[in-house]
Amino acid sequence: MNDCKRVKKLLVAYFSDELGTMEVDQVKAHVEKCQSCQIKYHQIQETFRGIGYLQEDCNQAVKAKDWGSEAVRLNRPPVSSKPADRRYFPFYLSRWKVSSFALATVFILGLMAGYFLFYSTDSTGSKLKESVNFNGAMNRIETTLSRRQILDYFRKTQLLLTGVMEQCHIKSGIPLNKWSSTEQIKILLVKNRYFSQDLNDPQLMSSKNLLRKIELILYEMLIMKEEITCEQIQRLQRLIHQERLLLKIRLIEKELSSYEV
Amino acid sequence: MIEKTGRNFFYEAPEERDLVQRVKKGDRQAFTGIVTLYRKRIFRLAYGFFHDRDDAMEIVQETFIRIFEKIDNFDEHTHFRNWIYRISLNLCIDYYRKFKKKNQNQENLYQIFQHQAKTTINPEDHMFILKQKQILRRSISLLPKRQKLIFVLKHYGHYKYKEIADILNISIGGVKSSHHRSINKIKKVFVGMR
Repeated sequence: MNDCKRVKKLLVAYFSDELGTMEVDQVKAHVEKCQSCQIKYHQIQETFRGIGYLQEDCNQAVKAKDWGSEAVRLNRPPVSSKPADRRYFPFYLSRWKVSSFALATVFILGLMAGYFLFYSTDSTGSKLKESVNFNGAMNRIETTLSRRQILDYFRKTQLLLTGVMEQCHIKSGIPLNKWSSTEQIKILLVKNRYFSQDLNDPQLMSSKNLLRKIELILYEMLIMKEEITCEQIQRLQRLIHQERLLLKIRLIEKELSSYEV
Repeated sequence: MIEKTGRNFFYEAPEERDLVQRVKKGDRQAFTGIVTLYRKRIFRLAYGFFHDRDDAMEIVQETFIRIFEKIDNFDEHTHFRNWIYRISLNLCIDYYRKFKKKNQNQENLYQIFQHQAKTTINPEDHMFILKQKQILRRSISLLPKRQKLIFVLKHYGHYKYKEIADILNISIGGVKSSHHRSINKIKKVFVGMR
């Protein structure tokens, strides 16, 4: 039995010419005796014969190939494929490295362009910024409003002061509160104090001195009692004339109204 | 322990080493020499895999392209022939995998056996030999990867067990047993059809 097992294992090697002479003899001797091994022997012999057919086919295919013309096809690789693309990149730079480097540079350039567009100090940049900046717009609205208020204030004081100056021509002892009440003067004084404190706009700074002088005259008028003498009025008129208040008010009025859109 | 170089020494041609060194330096004539030396052997192996001339030729061409591209990576302490065969066999396996995906109708050996047992033809007929070949081809293609490689190297490359062990980098015992198993599988189908 042991011989059978051993021989069955050796049969494939036997037909493959892989056995030594000793083993070949052993196999031959056993196969002659043992019937079951004989069957196995013949089966494997048949299989190898069949494989022999395929080997013949293979030999025919090798013979049938026109190797002369195939040589041209097979020798093509060295001509075409030895890598022209290797020459373009240094050995330490693979393609993905180069492409990532290019991407990074594009990204940085984009960032720089964005920075110059939105934060630079040139004309286009400032316009953009101004349009975007909400606080700036609010400041502009505030200044225009305060400018209008001051204009209004100057017009009222102008009326008041011209009234005082006209009083001079009449030369009569008509009391002051007939053409202007003390309340109106008080309101004007309060407004004056408000403007002179909160004036920060450079366009309105020139009117600051004027406001102080107007304040003085308004105080004078407020101090006066109900019965106003002609002398007192003349003193007021002299003050207004000395300071040239009416002229200055008119100039500032012109200046301010020129800013109006 | 036997060294790799020592193991391969006894069947290595000195001209071959010279050719490889020249190809590494960029000599095209040397490359042509390698092509003429190996084209038929690789063709045989690929034919064993696919049993088709065009497919085999494609593998041969692809192998030489690979060899030319990767020759700088070739370690000269190892055998050049083994390296070439491993490249071509790997290509065969890849190619076969793609081919297998295309053809989904896979049969197993048992099904073929059953089918053929029903339709037995007169053995003297020429058609019978053709049928035998067809069955053999089919049963070879259905072998597992390792057994198929060893079968192809043994019967189409005509290599000894020791050489096959060197090429595939496995033990001789492994080669023997795999070959034994593959032949037995083919035998089952082949004898069953008679």
